[in-house]
Amino acid sequence: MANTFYTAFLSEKYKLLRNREIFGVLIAPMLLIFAISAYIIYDIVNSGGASAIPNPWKVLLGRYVFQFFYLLYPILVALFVYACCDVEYKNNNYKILFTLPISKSNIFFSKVVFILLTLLFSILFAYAAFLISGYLLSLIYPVLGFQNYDYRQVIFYTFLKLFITLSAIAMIQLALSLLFRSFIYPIGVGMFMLVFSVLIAQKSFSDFIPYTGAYNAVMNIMSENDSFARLDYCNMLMVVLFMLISFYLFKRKGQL
Amino acid sequence: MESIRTKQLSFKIGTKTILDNISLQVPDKGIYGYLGRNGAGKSTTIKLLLGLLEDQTDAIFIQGNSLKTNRTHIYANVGNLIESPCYYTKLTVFENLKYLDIIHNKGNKRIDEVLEMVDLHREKKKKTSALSMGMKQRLGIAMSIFHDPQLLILDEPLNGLDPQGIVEMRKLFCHLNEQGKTIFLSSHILSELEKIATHIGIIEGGKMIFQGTKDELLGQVNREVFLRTSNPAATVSVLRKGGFSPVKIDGESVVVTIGDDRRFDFMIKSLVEQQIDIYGLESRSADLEQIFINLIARANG
Repeated sequence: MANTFYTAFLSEKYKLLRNREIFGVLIAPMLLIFAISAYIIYDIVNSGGASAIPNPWKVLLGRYVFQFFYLLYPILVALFVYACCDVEYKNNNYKILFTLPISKSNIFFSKVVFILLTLLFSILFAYAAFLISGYLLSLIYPVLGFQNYDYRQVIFYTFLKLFITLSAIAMIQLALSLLFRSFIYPIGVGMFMLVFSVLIAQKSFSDFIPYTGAYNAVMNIMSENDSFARLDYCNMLMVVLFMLISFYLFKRKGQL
Repeated sequence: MESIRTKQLSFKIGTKTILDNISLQVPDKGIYGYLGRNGAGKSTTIKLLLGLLEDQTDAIFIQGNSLKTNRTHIYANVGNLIESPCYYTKLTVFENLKYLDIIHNKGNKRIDEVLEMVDLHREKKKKTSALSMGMKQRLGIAMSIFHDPQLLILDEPLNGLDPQGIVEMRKLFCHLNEQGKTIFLSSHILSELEKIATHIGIIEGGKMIFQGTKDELLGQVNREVFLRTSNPAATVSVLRKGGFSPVKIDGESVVVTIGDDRRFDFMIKSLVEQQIDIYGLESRSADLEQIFINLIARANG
């Protein structure tokens, strides 16, 4: 036995990988991209043939994918983060967790690293699926013109900024899930913030609301924006801030 | 050395005192039965001993180490089951123990060994949601003993078990105790505690009203002796003259209450001197349940 971060991480990974919700957040975005690609093919077949489009990465694939993503991804993240906390709520399993010969800080940060790594892999899978879809479409329908545009930098930064946004959302949802035992509050607040962020997306203060980042991903891909802005720096700060708030709430959970 | 020692442990929630100067002394390699009515402070004590409630006074010492400063070191050698069994519902029986194995590094052989001990080896691959209440309790016990701890803290470990299960668990606790483990357990099934406990602590209203060996506790109360003699009326007369009280006739027997063994010896000698033949003699001690009720009543005035 060793009271190490690595031991804590391995045990958390073993336990949390058995949650179905993890596959939702890992695979659903990737499957969605392939489903959209299949729809594009179906649409072309139905309309009688493909025609040239200016920058299909943005206008065709990017538009559809990110319109789904800004609504779907934060909800998947909220569900996944809640599931990571719910395993401890069931049967009051915090009693197991806090009587293990592992420090609370190691347990907490191993949970956080597991959540962030899962999000990273989810984004990487989605990023790969996006590039593969464009490449396949360029092979099947060269006339669409995917091969004529090198849009990799914008795609990379859009996904990177989306990862930062989702990390910030994950930490907020973690704090909410540690604060409220009931499913309703963290998911309800997440949904509300998502709708609210769309309504106030054009306001300057929206940069301080991480949920806006999901909506901004659509704007980024459409406006070919690959630079970091105030929202992205705020989101990085929010990751740290809400991680610390969550740590405080987690330590307090020890007092049953 | 004591396995658990608390130095005037007190605990308050707001202005309400939940525990008041509890000085537990749980001897090493003993089985300590912790008794008390609902709300007396048993579970609070156990949660404090396990660090699930904050010890406000640094009064808890486990195996000689302060719980406040040696938490992770202490937990490596303590197994616990508090109120209801804890396990992960999305894992199978085996996976729940495998999860602990990642932390304690005991190997799959130990998982099988522990499942055999609690008679759960046939359910190894079952999801915990498919287990009966008694099986869940067995799993909770398996998880508490998995890392072969020197000290077991068990709160109501017999809950939900059928009579056969209770007997099996009693045997298991005795077996673990024979291996040198210290067991601290609370239970509402006093007859079971009476069978296995070497030491007893009784708490009422947050205060310790008795602590000592089981024999000391049982010796605290008078016992009734049922005598069958050649002359019951003369027997009553002799015993009353000898200062025994109360003495009464119950059917063919004379019933006399005796405080200690010296009085017992004196009673026999007095009857023999008066040439009263003794045909039968049965001594009935009060059981733990009766003593517990009497002590609680006495503590509450």
